[in-house]
Amino acid sequence: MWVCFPSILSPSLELSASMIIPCVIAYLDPGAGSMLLQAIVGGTAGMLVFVRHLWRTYQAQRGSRSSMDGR
Amino acid sequence: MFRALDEAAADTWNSITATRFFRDALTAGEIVGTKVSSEAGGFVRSAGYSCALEHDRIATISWPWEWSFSMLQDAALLQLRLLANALQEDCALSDATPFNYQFEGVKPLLMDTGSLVVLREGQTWEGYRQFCEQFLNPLLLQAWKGVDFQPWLRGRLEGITAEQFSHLLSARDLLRRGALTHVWLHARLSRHGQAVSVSDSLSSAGFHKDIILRNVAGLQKIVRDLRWAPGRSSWSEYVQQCPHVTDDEPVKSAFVREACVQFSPGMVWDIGCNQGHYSRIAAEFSRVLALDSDHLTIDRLYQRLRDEASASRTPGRITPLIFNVADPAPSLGWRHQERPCLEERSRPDLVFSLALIHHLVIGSNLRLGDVLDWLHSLQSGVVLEWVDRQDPMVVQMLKNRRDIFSDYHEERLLEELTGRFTILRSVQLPSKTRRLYLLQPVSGTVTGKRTVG
Repeated sequence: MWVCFPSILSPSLELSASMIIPCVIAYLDPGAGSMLLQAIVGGTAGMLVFVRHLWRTYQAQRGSRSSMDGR
Repeated sequence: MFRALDEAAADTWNSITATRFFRDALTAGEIVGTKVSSEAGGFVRSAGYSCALEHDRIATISWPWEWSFSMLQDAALLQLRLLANALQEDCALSDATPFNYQFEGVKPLLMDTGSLVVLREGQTWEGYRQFCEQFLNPLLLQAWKGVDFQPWLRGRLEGITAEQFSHLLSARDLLRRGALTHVWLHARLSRHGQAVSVSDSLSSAGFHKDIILRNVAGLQKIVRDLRWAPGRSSWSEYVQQCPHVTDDEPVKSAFVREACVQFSPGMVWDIGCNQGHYSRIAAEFSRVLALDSDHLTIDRLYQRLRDEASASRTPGRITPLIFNVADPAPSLGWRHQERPCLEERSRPDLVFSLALIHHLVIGSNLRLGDVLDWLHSLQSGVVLEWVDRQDPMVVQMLKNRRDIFSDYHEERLLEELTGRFTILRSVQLPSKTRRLYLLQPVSGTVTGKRTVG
């Protein structure tokens, strides 16, 4: 984590919230759909990754349905 | 400007600075000058941080809704180039927003060194969606649809989503490079939630950095090939169409130069700069913000300055920005503090208001006194060009509208200046319908919202 503060502050002062430039936490939600698209537009290697992901998703959903049916 | 780093961020910083791409970009001026600060080191360690970085000062901070098409395009290409180079050494830029970039003169540079990170094995490019929303879609909107992107970015800081933009695409647009994938498919994939953790699933399915590099290369080709070249706008041919511009130019140039000598400015605002002739004179003395409300005018000026800067291998001292005095972008973002308005980011020492006042009073229905109040609130010297009622441009402006501007007279101007400005010098221009004033603000008076003195 990092914070920014202006150079006019005297280093003798304590660092407090009021001195820090107003900013929002730089968390970025990459988006699930956007991540998948990166694989799709990433050439042959990317498509292979995408197909593997689809197969695993299918298997996970099938496994989940089977366990529910068995209850 | 200092940046305090905790232990994890300091480790990342040490890894980044050991790479060749970082050193090369720093040397080329593509990343803001940054060094570890011993001066602030003790200060931040006492607050629990590990170390402090000190960044070089950037003359003026600007926002993407003040940039022209070519400026956003150049910033996007820099983002993609830095990312591609970083990936070669297993690093990346975690986000991809134009707010991470600033212009030094006409040269874009990355100012957010905190966005440089070490790439984890199997990690996707986290900034891809942000790049599409804040760089790609605004550029496509301008290039494909001819619609100015600035009001969209000003209206929504997160940019233009794929879903929003996909609604604007025609069948013909879908045949353009990147439309089907980065916009149409992106919109459809974004609508649906995923049953599993996509990042984990892609990572275990073998996702690697070459896939990102392939995507980045494709985006580079799309962005580089985009063109926005309308034939003309309301203001782009102004100089060629108006004979007074040529007639008055020598006297105006001399007057402006003398004003610069007298004020020794560090920052000049040239409001309504058009082709930037007077900005260039000011740049002999000072840094300059060349401001104009017309997108095409600013784009052409930026391209000319960029080509000149490239030839001379300097960033130049003029930064062109889109700015409309009558409709300025307010402070935006969290508590209206994240993205402050222009007056809060930059203070001019000298302002050029050349051939502008009639457009504000007659064209935008602003009161003469209010315009002078605003100029006074800047507390800088002002070169003001008064354009009389007999001037062909004013006659043209009043031709098709009711004349409700009974106070638009030079006598009234002189009355309104009293108490706000001291007239240091004035000269009538050869066109006979225009006069230049060099004004010094009177301090200790209240004008507009600002109390001075």
